[in-house]
Amino acid sequence: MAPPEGSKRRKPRKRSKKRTSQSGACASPSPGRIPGEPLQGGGPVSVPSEVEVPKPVPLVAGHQQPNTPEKGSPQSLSPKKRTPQRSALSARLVKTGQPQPGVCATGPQQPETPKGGTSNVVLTKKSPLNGPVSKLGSAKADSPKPKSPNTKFSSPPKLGLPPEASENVITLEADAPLELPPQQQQTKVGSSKNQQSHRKPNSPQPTPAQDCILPPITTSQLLTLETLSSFIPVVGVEKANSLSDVKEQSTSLTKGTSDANFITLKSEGDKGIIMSETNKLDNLCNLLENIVIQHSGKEAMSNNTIKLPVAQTSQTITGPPPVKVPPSTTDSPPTTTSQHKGEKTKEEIECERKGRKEAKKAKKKGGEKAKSENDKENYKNINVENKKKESQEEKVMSMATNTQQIQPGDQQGQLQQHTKLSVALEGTDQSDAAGKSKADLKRERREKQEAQRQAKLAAKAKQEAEKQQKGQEEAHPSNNKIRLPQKKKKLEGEGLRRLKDRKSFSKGPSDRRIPLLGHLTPYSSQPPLLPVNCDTIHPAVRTLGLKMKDRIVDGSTARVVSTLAALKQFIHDYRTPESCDLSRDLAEKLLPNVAFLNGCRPQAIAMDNAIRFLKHKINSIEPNMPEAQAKDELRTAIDEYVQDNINLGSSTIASHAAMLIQDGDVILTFGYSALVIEVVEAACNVGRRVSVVVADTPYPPSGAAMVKILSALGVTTYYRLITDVTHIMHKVTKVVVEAEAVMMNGAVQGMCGTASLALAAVTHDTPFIVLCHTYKFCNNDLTDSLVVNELGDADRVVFCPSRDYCGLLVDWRQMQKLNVVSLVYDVTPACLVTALVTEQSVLPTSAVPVIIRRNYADILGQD
Amino acid sequence: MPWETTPCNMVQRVIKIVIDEYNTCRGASDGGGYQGFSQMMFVDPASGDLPECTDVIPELQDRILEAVAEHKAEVEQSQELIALQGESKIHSDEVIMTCGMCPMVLAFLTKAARRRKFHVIVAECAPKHDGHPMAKSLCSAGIQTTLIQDCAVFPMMSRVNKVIIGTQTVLSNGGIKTFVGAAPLASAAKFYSVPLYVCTPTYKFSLVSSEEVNHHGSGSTIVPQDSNLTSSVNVVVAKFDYVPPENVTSFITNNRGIAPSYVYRQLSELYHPTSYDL
Repeated sequence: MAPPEGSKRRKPRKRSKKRTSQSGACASPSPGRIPGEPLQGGGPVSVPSEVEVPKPVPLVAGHQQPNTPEKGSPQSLSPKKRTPQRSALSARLVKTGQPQPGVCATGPQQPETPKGGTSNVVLTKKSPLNGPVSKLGSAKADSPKPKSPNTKFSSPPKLGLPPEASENVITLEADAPLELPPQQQQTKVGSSKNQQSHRKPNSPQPTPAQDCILPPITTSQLLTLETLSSFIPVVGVEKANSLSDVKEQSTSLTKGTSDANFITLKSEGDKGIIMSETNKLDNLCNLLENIVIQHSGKEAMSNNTIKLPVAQTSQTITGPPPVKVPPSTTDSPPTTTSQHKGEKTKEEIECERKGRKEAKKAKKKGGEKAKSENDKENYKNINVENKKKESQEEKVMSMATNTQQIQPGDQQGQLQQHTKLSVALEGTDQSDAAGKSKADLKRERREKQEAQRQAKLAAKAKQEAEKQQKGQEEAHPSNNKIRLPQKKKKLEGEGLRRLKDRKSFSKGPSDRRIPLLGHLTPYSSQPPLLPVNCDTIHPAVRTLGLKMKDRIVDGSTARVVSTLAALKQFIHDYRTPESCDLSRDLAEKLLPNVAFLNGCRPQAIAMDNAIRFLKHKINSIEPNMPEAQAKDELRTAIDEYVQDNINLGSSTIASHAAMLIQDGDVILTFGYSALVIEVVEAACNVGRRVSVVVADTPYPPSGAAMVKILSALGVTTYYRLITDVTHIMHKVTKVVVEAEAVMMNGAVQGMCGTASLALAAVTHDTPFIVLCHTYKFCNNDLTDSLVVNELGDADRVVFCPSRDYCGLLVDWRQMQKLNVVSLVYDVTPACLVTALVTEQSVLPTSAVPVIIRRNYADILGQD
Repeated sequence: MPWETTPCNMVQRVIKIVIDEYNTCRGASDGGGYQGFSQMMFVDPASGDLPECTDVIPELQDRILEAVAEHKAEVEQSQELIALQGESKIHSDEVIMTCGMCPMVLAFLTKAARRRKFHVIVAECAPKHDGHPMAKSLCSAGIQTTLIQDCAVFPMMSRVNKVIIGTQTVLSNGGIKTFVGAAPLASAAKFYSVPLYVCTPTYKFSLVSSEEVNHHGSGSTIVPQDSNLTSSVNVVVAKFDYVPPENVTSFITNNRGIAPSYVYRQLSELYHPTSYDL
């Protein structure tokens, strides 16, 4: 399922990008307008039917009125500009409230006027958001909610962020480019409703005749409705009329002449857009169906019939990535209604839209969890409504009631959200009632119906909610979780988004959290993914990364040397771009390379130090230094670093350590260490006869190579398992190991197993000598091994050398309760270390901070 | 198999049973015990002071058979009795470390898992690697299990609440002779002050003292397959590890928990002094 979704999603993204450019242009004006909007407000409304709108504006004079003028202003703008506005509006609408959806639906039905109407609506919503924030606060509950999201979203589109970034953004983009299929790009929740509305405005352009057919009044009414809904306090006669009209319109118009037009428009727009992507959508449709079925058996049935529309919505929803399954589910019900276009009345559609908007509101208002839950609930409610096929009003009311009803049975978070929603809804309702006599009547009716309905639905809703929630949680636990973070990231750039998507994809199968070690990067056998034709990673770095991943280059010293060599090559091939500072640009270009190495295998501390050194060198290059000279300087610096710290350091350490070794000593060491070999060699050269015990682990058995080399040197060697050293400890006179890094507090990070050797040494009163270059000193303090560590390939543990049990746990990844862990490092507490042999001298562990302070303060202190 | 102490333990146990039965029979007929308890305490094991069981007691055979059957039942029940103590030794959300495969420990943990939720870290126990089947059994019993390599015992020990292992033999000094890898495990536990429990039935209590612990196995099992080490390299792997009594917190036996320092008393109850040098 996932792969098809991904492919589908990607396509929409691309489109969205293209659109984004357009939308960005379009959107940019909108922010500018906002301040000026109120001024323009009354005048700009170009829509013919909107005469009503301007009137309310003056009347209202309140917060929302400025909005209407804003709408007018955008309308005055070029069509392209309008479209982006619409998109923004639609998004906001979705967020805002039920009444808006209804308006939108009617709006689309009407030809040209609807455009203006939609735009107006958008403006109203926008105005609260963009314009007077203070007004927003005073405004109704609905307005503030939309404002915050709108403001956020509005900024991203301007920035030209990828559509993926945020749902709202996506909607905007989709709307903006009329050519593109609006449905796909529409936002999740309001997608179906908004889509319809958007389509209509869009469609009208291509098919003006149809639009003309629709009565202009409806659009104006719709606009007024929106304004009314948004402005509860403002009670204008016009508004009242508009509100009542709007509601009535939605039903009557849709049912009447407008229905046919509307349907045709929709069908045309949808089909045109949809058909192209039908194939892609089909898969999504199936997905949605499954989801729907899971959520609600009966309700799903109706949805099943209409697959294509669902797919569209799903695409729009999925647009961001796989995570969005939950939103798709929420959308699915509305989509189903949209699917039924021909079959079902507009009322239903409107109801669904309202439901979606409510859901969006809830999401925005409440916490993430609450959002998901609300969506589910709304979805349920919508389904129920569809079944009953009640009138729009009733449905709307039921929506509110349902949300309220659900409150008692559900969790607190949900309750709070619901209450907010209900309050908002009520507020809108009240505004309507106050504004118009018809509205009042209707409201009364609604209230009655609601009371009845609530009683009926309460039981149903509870049951269904419980069932569905359980089912949904089970079915899409990851989706819900993932989706929430995505929302947060809307504002972030595309790159981040992609990264996240990839992560979520990769995590899919292996996202299990190892108890106690969940903070460590899980081992993956695959190298980090790179974009195709990515030229940011130097080939030498890439090669090295893969080598380190496969442990061809292993051991901290080897990794440091080869890393520096690769980076030297990188610097050699580097060309400073025009009008760029070498030090800045190079440091910037170095980052992805380092990140790649880190992605292949988590950096060793020594590597980190070396790279810090290099960065320090790069940063300290004079800005006016010629490139060739700078590169030369860097290369020499790297060479000197390797020569001084590693090559010379090793020989100095060997001579220092050889001084500690006496004739006849039995040295216990661990695994393969070139440095220890050097020490033994140096000791032999000084004429000391030593024998060496090599402790080894099965993963990897590097000690075997060590034993071979030592025995070739003529040294008496013993080969022991790391767990078995206690039996030979009584013979051992010194334990000599090499460190991977030494911490500020004297703790020694070594290959896993070093610490148990130290412990054995201490219990047998044997000196534990650690060899370490000072460039591996780290100004970090570690007191245990698990905080900073690396996870190795667990499969190497699974395929153990034992004949009987090799591969017994091959399928451990399928077992929920079983984890296989292969730690790479451990940390030996300073109290177990007798002496630290560095190239400077033989030191106690307490001297580490002194060395760091004296030699590496400039490098290590940087970060 | 000189390292197997359990058969010897059983023989000594049966001797003790026979002598006890003889004494009770005589005591019943005589009115006085052949050897009072106070007398037993003063028997010199070195002299091999076997009681002179010359009396003919017709019902003795039946009674001995009965007692031996009883002992057999006790041995058979020992695992179950040990497992029953799981709940009293493990609290919820604990992290337990164990090493290698021991049916006694497995039963103990499995039983405890019915009432407690905890996490078990299994060290694979290098030369034998029987931590793998142990991990499999534990996770199939519904216990959160993590398998680690042996050298990760020390790093992981800092997060462990209890170490529970099985043993081959409990030595007379309170130490244990057990699988290779237990010594570093126990010293790591000691380093981090983690209690180490040893699940052992009483029939594993042995009169053997610690000097006889070491038996070396074939080194070929530990040499990596693809590496052909020269014959000059000394490759050896021990069969057992010796964990000194100071690293053992407590023995979980089928009777009760026994501290290592109290093992001697248990031994004097289990075996007759005359069989100490058997």
